[in-house]
Amino acid sequence: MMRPVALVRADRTGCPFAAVAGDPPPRPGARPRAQRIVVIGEFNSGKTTLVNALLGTPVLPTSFTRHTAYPTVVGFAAKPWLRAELAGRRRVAVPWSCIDGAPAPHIRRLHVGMPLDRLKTLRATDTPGFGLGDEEDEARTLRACRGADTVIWCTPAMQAWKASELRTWLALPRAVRQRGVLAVTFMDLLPSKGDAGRLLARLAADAGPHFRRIVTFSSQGFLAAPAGELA
Amino acid sequence: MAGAHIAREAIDMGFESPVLVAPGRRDVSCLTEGPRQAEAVGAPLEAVRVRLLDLLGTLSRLLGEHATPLLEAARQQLEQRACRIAVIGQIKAGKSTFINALAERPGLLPTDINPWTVVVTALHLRNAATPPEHAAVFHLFSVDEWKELADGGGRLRELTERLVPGFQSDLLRAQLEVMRKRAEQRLGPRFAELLGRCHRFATVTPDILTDYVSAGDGTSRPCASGRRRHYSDITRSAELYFNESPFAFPITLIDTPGTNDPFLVRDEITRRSLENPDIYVFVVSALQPLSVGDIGMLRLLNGMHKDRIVVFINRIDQLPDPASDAAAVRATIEKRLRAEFPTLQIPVICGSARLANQRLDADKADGAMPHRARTTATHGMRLQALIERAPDDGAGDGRPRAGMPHASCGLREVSAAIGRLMCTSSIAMLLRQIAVCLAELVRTAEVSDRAELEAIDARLAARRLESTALRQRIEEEVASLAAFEEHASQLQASFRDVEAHFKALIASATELLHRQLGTLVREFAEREAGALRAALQERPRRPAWRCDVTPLRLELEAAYLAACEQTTSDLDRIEQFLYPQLKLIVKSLVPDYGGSLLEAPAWAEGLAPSVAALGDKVTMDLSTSWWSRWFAGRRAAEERARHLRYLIEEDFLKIAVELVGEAQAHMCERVEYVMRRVDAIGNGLSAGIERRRAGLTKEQALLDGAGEAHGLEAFEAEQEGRADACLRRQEAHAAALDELGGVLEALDTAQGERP
Repeated sequence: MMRPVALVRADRTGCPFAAVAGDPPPRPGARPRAQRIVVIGEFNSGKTTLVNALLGTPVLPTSFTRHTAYPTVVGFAAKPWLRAELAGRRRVAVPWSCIDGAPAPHIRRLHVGMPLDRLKTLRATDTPGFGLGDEEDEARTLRACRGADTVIWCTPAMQAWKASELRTWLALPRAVRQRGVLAVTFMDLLPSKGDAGRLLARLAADAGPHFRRIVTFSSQGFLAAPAGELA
Repeated sequence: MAGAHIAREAIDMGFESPVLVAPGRRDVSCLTEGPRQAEAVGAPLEAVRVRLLDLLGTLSRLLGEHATPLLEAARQQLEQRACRIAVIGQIKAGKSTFINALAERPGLLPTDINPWTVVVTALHLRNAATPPEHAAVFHLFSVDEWKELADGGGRLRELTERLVPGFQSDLLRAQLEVMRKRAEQRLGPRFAELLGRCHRFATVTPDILTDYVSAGDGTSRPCASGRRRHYSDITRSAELYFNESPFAFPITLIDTPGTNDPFLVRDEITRRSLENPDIYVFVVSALQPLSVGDIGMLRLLNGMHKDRIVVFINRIDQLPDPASDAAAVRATIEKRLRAEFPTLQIPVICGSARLANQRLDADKADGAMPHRARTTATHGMRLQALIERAPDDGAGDGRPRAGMPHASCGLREVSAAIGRLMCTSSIAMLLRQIAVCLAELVRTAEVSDRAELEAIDARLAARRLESTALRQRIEEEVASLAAFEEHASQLQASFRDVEAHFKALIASATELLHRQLGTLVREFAEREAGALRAALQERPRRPAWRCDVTPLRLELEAAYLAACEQTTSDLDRIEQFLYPQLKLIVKSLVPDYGGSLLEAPAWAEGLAPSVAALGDKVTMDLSTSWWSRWFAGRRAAEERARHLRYLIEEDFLKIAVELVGEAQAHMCERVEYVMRRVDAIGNGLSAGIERRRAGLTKEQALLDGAGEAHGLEAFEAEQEGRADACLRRQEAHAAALDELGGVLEALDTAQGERP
């Protein structure tokens, strides 16, 4: 049976992604390629918080009431910028308020560039959540999963692994699922350690067979920053 | 521990053997507080209920035997009918925790971090002097039910196989296998012998409840590891009884296993076992409120119970900033509900069941203040003060302090919302019907008394004439009574005719509706299959096409409602013809009949038939991914079209049948109500006839019997006595009518209090 790995700890070691993906460490001397990580899950399952944690800094705004509107790709750049991808892969620079404003139908994706060292080895994609009934959004999210090295499915600890999550996950192509990691988010909201153990035991039995591994994640310490400060 | 099980085993042996008390267990019922004060939930209805029950006693003395069956039926309804409140929602929304808080019994229903409630559990709460006969009754699955469930047969397999082709039926089979093995492991290889039994307990403890209604750990205790056995896999329903309640009116709180459970078996059990609650409390987690699944479920409820839903946003204490986030979450949800259900006014309440339980526990620990005082003055305030109260705040005056964020556990608001909904629920309707029916009974009795009084006056006047004239008078009266009786029996017969007419009308309407809906479904299926064929010709490999069944739903709904309206207006027409006829007949019998029974009843708006069946999940509602699978699965275009037609007809013909059944039940209910009123008149009249006949026979005997002079005196005295009795009865009738008028007024007021 697979053992859950605590993501928060991995974060402190400075290399969370090997732990997430369960990959062997890169060969010394080999030029590291940016790992592409796509974070998906139902709405309010802590995807954006997890992406921020992966980056080690709150790049994207998090909220319980305003949902992430587009797949948002965060990659390395010498200085911060924000671009919107429109139809035909055309990209245009947009103001920072776009990241947190009302969704515009013509924008397909957002691309964020950040001068973070971590982004030299990693490109993280945050996505709109499933379960709000917007099929357009869901199709976009599914497209964003293509070409990912690791796909992380977020499930909140307090209401973990529902039938709707199972159904959505199983509807993804097998190739995507084979790169899947289940992240149990909001672990800090569990009342006790014993609860965490029992929850993870159930998840290992019910969800385990569908993922490469299960990791836990606690959101404490990663807070949202207003988009304006980033610029 | 062992004692309880030995006790229960003993009960197993003899089904009806006396209940043994389990020793050495914590008795949950002893933790509860005394009866609550007047403004508890449902107080206005409870007052009405008590008044009606009191009146029943008076009336059964007043009205005599003929009314007994009707009065008994009313008494039974009043004593047994409770307001049923179902608490529903997705898994891990906090339903059991919420019920514990609402019932003010923290820790009663077991809760856990994993989906834990697997059995539909009903808490019967009523204030009564004597404790209930059993505190807990658990029904285990019957052999057939278990077989169907464990084999994954019947609707369950059909549903999962069709809804999610391929993998999920494998999944279900695997889950059922796990369940069967677990039951065997927990209960021993001969657990099948337990099926069909019913286990009763005189007291209920958390341990017992855990054994019967909780999922238990995946790594289950084998039955050898102690005397406790885990029955939940084979428990069908749990009933808990309490004689102390925080509600004024009798309430049944129903806890349900959560929907959206990846363990499909539980999801199906929940769908199957929800029977007609009066009010639904829909619990959602503030962290993930109102997903597509939630909206779907609300849509289903909307079809059934227009506005008897309360949405409770639980776990606001887990939001990063409860005070401001809760308001934002609530605003979002209200906005979405308004968009989805523009005609509904669903109260949305934020709160935290966990905090409410903690507070109840703390209160219990304080224990100093009697419950009565606490609920009157501080119930609301202490809840409101909860969140802003710092942990080291020992003072606990319970009042929100200036400058602190204002929030509450929400339980008080939920109770208030439930109280308001109750006043317009079917419970209030029932009370009103009973009151109206009783009033009619009294009025009919009054009419026959008045007739008797007149007859006595006439006879006493005749007394002054000769006795032969009197004799003649009595004979005349016997004859007129016979005519009266004949009329009355004709009346009864015409009632039966009317009833038969009603039934025939309903039958033909039902038949027509059935044909109509069937045609709609078949035509739609044919049309869609044609469209699919065309789409496939255009793009044979991956047609950009999927079947949207919303138009069919709308067509069915329109046809169904139109047919119901048509039949209703037919019934109306008959009633409008029936009542004047009745009035004519009754007037010829009793010229000054004053009852309102002979006016056609005004039908309440809320009585439209349910369109719940239209909310049923069907194959076509599935996501794009289902459709791509479906296209991948089948080869030939013709075969695909045929399969599509089959799927549509399979799903929707069933729905059509349900709709027809619903319409039929709805109209029959209406006819029954009319017939009940009409029977009340008939019964009253025939009772009056009986009484007068008995009187006349007695008079004749008096006249025939003793000597002429003596006989006449006795006769006169007897007549005076009866006239007095009539007058006294009339007074009592007037008082009863006054009281019933008051009751109806109280019901009006309670209903009017709704915002």
